[in-house]
Amino acid sequence: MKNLVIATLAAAALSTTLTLPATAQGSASTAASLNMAAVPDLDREDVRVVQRGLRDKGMDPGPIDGVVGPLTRQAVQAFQTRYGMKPSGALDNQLLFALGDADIAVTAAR
Amino acid sequence: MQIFNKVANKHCATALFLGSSLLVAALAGSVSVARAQSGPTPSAAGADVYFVDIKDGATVPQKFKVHFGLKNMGVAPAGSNRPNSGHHHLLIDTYLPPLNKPIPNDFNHLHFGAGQTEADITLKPGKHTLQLLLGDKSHVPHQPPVMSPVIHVNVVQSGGPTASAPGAEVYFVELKDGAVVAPKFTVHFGVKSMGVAPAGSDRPNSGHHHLLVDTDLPTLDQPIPNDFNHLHFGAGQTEAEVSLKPGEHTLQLLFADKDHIPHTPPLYSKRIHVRVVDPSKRTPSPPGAKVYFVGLHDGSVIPEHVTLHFGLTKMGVAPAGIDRPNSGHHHLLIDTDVPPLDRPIPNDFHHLHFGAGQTEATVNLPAGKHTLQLLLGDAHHVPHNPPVMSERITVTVTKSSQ
Repeated sequence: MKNLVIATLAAAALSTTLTLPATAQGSASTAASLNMAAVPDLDREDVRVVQRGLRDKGMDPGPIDGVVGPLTRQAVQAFQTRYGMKPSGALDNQLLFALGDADIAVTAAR
Repeated sequence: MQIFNKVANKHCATALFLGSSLLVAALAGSVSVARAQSGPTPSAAGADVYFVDIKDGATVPQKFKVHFGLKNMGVAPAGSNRPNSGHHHLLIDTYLPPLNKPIPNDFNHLHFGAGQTEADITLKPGKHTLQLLLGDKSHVPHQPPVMSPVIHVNVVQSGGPTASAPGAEVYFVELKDGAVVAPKFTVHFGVKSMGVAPAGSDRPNSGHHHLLVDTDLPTLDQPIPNDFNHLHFGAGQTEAEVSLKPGEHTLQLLFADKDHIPHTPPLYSKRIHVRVVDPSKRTPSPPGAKVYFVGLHDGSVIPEHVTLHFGLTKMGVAPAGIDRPNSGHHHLLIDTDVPPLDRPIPNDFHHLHFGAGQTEATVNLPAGKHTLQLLLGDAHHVPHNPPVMSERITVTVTKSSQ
């Protein structure tokens, strides 16, 4: 009897643990299924994060103003060249990942 | 791994006995673990991967060792779930792959999944790019990615066991790519930062010259062949008289050690092209062809700064390099005799070339008596047969009154 209860509980637990990782995998597949060449819609705060990231990597994006101007583009290109990306100047998903801002890319893709 | 699983199972079983609240807690824990495992693997703060001993712009031999440096993280083989660790990937001549997927596995993306921290690489001579990118247990880059900047290396062909001196060079003295030469001509060999020693001599930082004619570089870790295309100068000669058939030829110098094996890095000159012109087959000029100074005669008095006009009868002007019949370009000889007519007209202060097809020139001459003469040259600056040249005139240059 006691064994049966454990078995039921275990089964319930199993089914829960089986479904939960599936939702977790859902967020994972978002990151893995991103088109890295796509340019997401970024708000000013996102752009500020990118600008700070560029500055931390030794590039000069100009003022951290959340606006993608010529200085930011140049800094993006310099960063892309330095780290083996096509120097497109685009704030694409690959750039966000390269700066460690994958969460911005994933959020913007939703 | 297995031990960890057992512990987890035991934990789970305990939770089942202890009641639902703990069960929920345990499940919540497993959810957060699952999330951490399925999203990008986080890298450690301040983590950095770098080339230990190769700098951007380095010159390296064809076979070389790359040491991978890793700061603030550990190396773990692929498949290992250890936090703050990963394994190296070497990207060669390629852009950074998509950072959200496993790093491709091919000739441009070398995996070091066994946790290697160095690699022996063989690359073709030429320019290449290298970049390091750490991957997690599934070969996916971390977040933020742990990657080095791209470095550029210049791979040079490896030679034999004898080292060449840093900065050493071999080169042709005076002979330039595209030169026009007679069938018999002298080649001067130059060497910088090393000495010339006969073959067999054990002197350090030395070697002897080899002239490669109409052939590619031989295998550079083997003795240079000895034949008509590979001329050896084992006595330590620094010049040679070379006989070549009329036509286009290539020449290249290759330095080698006492055993005729090129050094490492090997020392060879640029491969240059020469055009051998048979003097008996010089470009013919038409009968009556004549070149002359317009409005200038023997005994003319001219100012220091003067424009000379070149006249040409029965022939046309064509820039140097253009091989049109009955044409040529002007050369102005100042204070000099007629140069040898079977070879290219020298190019110096006494022999001014107008290879762009100019028909006049402004010259500055110091006051006094000077001789001037015009000599037409063919596409390769060699006078025609018969030569088309003006009389040599003597002019008196007077200080201009302004």
